[in-house]
Amino acid sequence: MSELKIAITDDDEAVRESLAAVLDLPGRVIATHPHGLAFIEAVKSDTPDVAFLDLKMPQLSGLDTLRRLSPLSFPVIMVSAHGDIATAVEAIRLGAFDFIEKPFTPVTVEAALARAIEEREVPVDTLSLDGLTSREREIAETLNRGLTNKEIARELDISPRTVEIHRARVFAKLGVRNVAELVRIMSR
Amino acid sequence: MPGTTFAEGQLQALVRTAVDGILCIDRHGRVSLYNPACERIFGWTAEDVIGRNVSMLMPRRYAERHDGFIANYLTSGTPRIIGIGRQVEGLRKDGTEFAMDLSVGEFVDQGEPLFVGIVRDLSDRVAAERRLRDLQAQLTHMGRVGAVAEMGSALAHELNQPLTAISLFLAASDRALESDPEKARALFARAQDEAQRAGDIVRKIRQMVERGDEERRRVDLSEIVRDAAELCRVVDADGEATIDVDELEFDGTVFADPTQIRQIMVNLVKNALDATLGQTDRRIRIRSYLDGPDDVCVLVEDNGPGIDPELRPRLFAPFVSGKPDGLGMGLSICRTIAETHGGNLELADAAGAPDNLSGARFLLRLPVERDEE
Repeated sequence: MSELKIAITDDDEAVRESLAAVLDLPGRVIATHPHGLAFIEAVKSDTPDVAFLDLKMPQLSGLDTLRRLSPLSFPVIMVSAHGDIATAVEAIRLGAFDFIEKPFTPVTVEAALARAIEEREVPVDTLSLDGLTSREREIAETLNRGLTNKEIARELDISPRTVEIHRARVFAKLGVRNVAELVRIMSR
Repeated sequence: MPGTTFAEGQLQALVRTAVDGILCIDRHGRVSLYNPACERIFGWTAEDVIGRNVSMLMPRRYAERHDGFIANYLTSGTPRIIGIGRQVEGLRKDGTEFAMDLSVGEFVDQGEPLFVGIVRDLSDRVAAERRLRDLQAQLTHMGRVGAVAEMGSALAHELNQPLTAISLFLAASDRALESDPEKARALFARAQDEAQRAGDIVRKIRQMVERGDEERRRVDLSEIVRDAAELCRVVDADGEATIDVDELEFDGTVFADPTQIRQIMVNLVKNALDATLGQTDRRIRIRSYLDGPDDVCVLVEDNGPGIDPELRPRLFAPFVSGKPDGLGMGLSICRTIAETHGGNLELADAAGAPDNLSGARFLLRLPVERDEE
């Protein structure tokens, strides 16, 4: 079995190095890049199997890096600041596979990595919003716009708890596990 | 006195009806004159006081030394208060202390020195001043909290970086513990460094929002300038702007409340960061220099577009802002702080030395604190 190539791009040295340290297991090769341009340059000669890409970086942002790499030939996991869901959702629309929010734990990182490797995709033709109630469809649509639970609650004038319940039903009916997957299939 | 036309009766009427307290003492501190205004001010009647030592009208800390003051003056001739007048504390009959303005004159009657004191009760004015100071302190505090609130999401982001790194370094360290203890230790040390970094950020935020009473002390201005610049580097999370701080090459000790001076500096640098936002080349420079023997100046300049000429005359007025969503309180509060510290804050003209940056330039001036003589 060949080695798994993981690329990490983050302008913060500590975040970059710690992420590399926690991902550094036998059978994996880790490459780190301090900014988007270095990553783009590296991809030309060596395509990673999975990439972690910070959203908020000076000069070239994570989104701009994605745009320049488009169309993507490998899954990219965006690393976003807490609460910056809207940008993360925008990244998914641009072709990123998933996003994790800082501060995150090693468990979150490994789970995102496992999903990316598995490349488990819901077949597009089987996806149908027909099975959703009208309220569930509203929830799916607002999630797709990158709103947080709290924002959705405010917009639809329901409690955050109700949003959570509907959200769980939407995920179950569509067979998705998180917002990233939902956005990925809805933007097709 | 030659040319005096006052009759004895007129003089007595003057003393009796004066709004200010008038009293007279001899070389032993004994009271020989005590007018009705004194009765109102101190609460004691003339009968209570005449013939007794004037120290009964002072708080104990002065009373004990007062006889000594008079004796000292009579031997040395060096006045501490005579002919000068100053604000002192008096003691009322009910035991309360109050602020009063005291001026003392001396004259000689039949070879004996006599001292006349004129007393003005300042307690109302002092209370009003204290209220004003409290309000001002509240306002400056609000200004600081506002500044931090504005920086809130940037600060949260900046805290998440070390927190993320700590969590990951520790996990990696834990994993390496048995297979490679040396590596585990190294990773552990990096986690510690990151905890330190998070702590530093929190400390800086706290310095800004802390209420605390206004506390002035001798402080090193360069330290305040450095701290403020660092906090602003944190806020400028993208790290696009260069913030240069020239080290002080002189003793920049000032007598000031460090929290408030830091507030001025953070405001100025934050404004400069906002002004240059969106430029590819963003530069901010902080320079300090001595201006004459008494003033230390801190110049904050940027290479932004500069201050709109229309805004310039009103720039320091409250609720005037050059930013689309600015509250317009920052500079107004900062100038008040500078002025209450005996200094000022002004817009320095854009023209000048060729090495100046092209944008706005603000000049903070504070009096240098000299060593006690």
